[in-house]
Amino acid sequence: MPDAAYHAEHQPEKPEWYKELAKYEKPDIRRAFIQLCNTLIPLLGLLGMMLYTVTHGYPYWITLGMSVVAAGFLCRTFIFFHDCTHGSFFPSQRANAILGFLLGVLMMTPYGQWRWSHLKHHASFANLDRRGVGDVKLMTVDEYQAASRWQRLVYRWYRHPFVLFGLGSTILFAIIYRFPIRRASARERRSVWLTDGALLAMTAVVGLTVGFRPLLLVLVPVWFILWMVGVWIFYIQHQFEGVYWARQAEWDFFRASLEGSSYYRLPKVLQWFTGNIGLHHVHHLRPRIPNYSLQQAYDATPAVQAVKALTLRSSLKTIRLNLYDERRRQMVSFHALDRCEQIDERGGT
Amino acid sequence: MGTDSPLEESFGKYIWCELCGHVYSAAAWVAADNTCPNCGASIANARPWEEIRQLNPQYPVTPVEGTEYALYS
Ligand SMILES: [Zn+2]
Repeated sequence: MPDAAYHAEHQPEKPEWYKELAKYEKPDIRRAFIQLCNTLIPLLGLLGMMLYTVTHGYPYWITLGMSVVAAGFLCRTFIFFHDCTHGSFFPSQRANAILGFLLGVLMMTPYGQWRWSHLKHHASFANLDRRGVGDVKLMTVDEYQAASRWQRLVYRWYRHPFVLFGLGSTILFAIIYRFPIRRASARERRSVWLTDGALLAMTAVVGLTVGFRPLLLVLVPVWFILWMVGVWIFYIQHQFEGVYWARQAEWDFFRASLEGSSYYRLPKVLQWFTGNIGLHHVHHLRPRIPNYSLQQAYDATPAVQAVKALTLRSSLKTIRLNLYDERRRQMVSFHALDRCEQIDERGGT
Repeated sequence: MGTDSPLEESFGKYIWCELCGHVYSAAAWVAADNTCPNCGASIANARPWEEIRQLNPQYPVTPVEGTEYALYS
């Protein structure tokens, strides 16, 4: 039997500004092609130059310097891939699927399975009862306090910035993404094996042509930076100071979009390299808006402009936030919780 | 024409999911606990099939259930 929350949620009357946002959902083939050209051409050019440096005796730090810029272009490529999963980059679903698959191979990310988990994320973001697919693991204070010593230790280790953004991101993209998720359907599982096969073929062809060592010296740093930045962006989108998280019964789509998804206002150059994904609150409100229209949608909508922005500086402070406190409705650090527990212990004795 | 289903009353007989693009009947959404039977999207991501048909007049009045339709074909 539908409950009150269900009735409130499915009211067809949505705010006028929300309806207006739908105007920006129309894919534009011309803009999509321009984006592909101004990103993939410099990316391939840079990878070629990096290959040249490693095969012609240049110091490796020159290659590493170029890898930072190449990773920027690859990061922007990831956003096109992300648009494809939402069917928003091109009007044609087939074109989105083909492009998404090919770009996924470049980033070692299986298109079908990533799409499946990403759509699950959109269906469950900021919902404490539906965590676990396509998001960065987050425990509530109560769950953490009820956990065993071992579980606490593993979670603390997982949330350490070095593990989460460094080692963890590499394990996720390089190893975990090579295997299908048990819950995924046959189609998604196939996409994993196809991506793995294409990756092997690509590595074999390029490796046999230019050598495997130079290929790895070029690709590994680029991938590493991309994955690290990627996990950082996933993280900052739904885990920050003042973020909204709620249980299923009280979960509200508009609050989850406007208060549970960040507006990460980056310097213009970084906004370009991250394909406007910092406008994440707009993206959750209207996931069909392609990246190339997000800024226009934002500029035309005072309701989304009212959201307080996270800046580069303020975003760094979120690294210390590790748990969600349901009573206080805010994120807290391990340190703050440890201190409270110590005070409680002292008060109790 | 009246209906017993509040979901059908709000969205019409067929619902298009803006997350996965699949179409199902309102009854199928209700059977899936008011979520998209394909991807689990909530009603917040549901749109009346008629709205999608207005954008794509060539789409059929009665869609094939479980099929993915582009927002703009
Ligand atoms: Zn769906």
